[in-house]
Amino acid sequence: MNRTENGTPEMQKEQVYLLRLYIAAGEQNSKLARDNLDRICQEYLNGRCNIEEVDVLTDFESALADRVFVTPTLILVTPEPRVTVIGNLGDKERVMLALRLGGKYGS
Amino acid sequence: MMVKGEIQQLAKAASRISGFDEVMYGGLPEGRTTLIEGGPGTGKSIFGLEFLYRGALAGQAGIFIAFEERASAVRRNALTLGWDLVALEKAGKLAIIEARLDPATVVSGDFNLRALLAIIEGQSKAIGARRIVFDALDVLMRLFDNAARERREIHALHEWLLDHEMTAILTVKAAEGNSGHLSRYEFLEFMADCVIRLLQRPGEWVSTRELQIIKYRGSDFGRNAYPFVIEPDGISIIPISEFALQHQALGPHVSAGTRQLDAVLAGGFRRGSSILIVGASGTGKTTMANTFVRAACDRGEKVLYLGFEESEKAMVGAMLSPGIDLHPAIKAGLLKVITAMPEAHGTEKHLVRTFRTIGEFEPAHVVVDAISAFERMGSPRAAFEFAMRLAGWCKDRGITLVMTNQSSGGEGERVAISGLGISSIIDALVWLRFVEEDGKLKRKLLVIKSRGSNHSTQYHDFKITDHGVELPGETTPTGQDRPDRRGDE
Repeated sequence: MNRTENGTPEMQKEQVYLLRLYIAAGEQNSKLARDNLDRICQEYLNGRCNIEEVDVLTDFESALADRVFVTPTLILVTPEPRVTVIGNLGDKERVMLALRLGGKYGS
Repeated sequence: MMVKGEIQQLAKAASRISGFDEVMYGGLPEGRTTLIEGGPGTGKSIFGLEFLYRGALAGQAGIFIAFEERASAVRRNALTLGWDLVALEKAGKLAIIEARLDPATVVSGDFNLRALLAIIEGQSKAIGARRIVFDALDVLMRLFDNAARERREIHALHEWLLDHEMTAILTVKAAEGNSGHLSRYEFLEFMADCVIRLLQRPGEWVSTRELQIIKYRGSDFGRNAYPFVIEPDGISIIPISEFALQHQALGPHVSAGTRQLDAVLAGGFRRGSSILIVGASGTGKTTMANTFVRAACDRGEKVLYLGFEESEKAMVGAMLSPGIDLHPAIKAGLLKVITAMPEAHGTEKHLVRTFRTIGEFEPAHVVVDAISAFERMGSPRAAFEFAMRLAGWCKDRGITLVMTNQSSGGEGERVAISGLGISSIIDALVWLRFVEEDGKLKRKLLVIKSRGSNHSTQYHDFKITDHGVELPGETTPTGQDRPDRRGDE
């Protein structure tokens, strides 16, 4: 089943997801989050995502501006509304639900 | 080297919060973490903020991390206390970090506080901060939703604070009597070098704020629950002595001045206790106080009278109309009247002067007329401090302290009765008031409390005649109503 066919066609076909992933370089959870996010992008968005990675250890100002206090933190910037997911994104269902990507709870 | 380190005095960071450094024997543990627990509205945030505010004014930069409130609300609340945080932020002496988490945040998998640490590391470098306050840390802790993770992360935060030699305050909401909460913070209490608890006790007449130091690793500290106030320009803790606060054994009875008064008070006042006589203007507070004064002087006991309302001459002259002649006592050197204008000096000067006089004169009793005038020393807080310190000083020395307080009547009555919030150390409280009865305005006396005695709980008629105060219907008739007068009538 191709989950990308769920939801509204415009959103699924044309919308590029802008995601910002806050990580702390060298940390295991950050690596896991990046891998998990990459997999979700490939599998469910056919790569239609623009992932901006921010290392809090070198850019704390951005973290402050986005009110990011834990790593890893994923922010869905567009499509609106904005969503924040914290953790290594290991619970795929929860991430999908948060990103409004359908899944077993539908969207 | 190690030995030297061990015997070295623990370094302390002065909070500059009025009275606090005294009970902390110098201040907060420098470069270490202090936990402040308390229920909602007990003053935790203000406490943390004042520590940073006073520090910033003295040139030490600090960071305030608000997990619950908006930064704008923090600034606005501070302004009500007259603290201009924006100016300090502009001057690079203060940074407020709003760390409220988006309530819609989704948790998926493990995470840590590295981002928060990176932010405070960056901010503290930027302004050279050595002081930091984490306000409402419990809100952050709720996010962890896993005991092991919570411990791991709070531990990491603590390590970071120690590594950076930050003098830190963590505030947490603690619901009293909620054992779940307590076990939750046991870990924090163990970790912190100093633990302070803030309480708000509903009192008989007005609630009292109290501060208690639970633990201070490596340092001695005052072990009482200290009363404090938050107005009008910050926290003020009354570092009155252990002795004064502990309700020590009551002294022997001392006549309140007449047999009738003693009957109503179930034996009179107690030596070394604090007595407050409250009433509107003209109800007879000064007359009642001087009834006590004359009886004491008649027994040969020394009384120091501190008058803040009128001159000695005016006060002594006015007492002649209710038949209380104080001249003989003054002549005999048993009564010393000192009058002062409250606005002439600040609290400290008044206190120093008063303490010196007490030390020199060594009175058995001190009368203060009226503490309501203390506000003219500058502020309600100054008045509170003066009254509390004087009461503590007198209690320590076994001196009876009789204070009057003028109430304005109406809504403010109860506040005045509480006596500027000093009710926690008042042993006996007498209320004089005017009551309309049968178309006439009559004076009434009510004993609101008298510790350790089975006092009357009724209103009594209180008359001021040309031969003293009378409580018609009370025991002995006038004329024989001064039990302690000895043969000099």
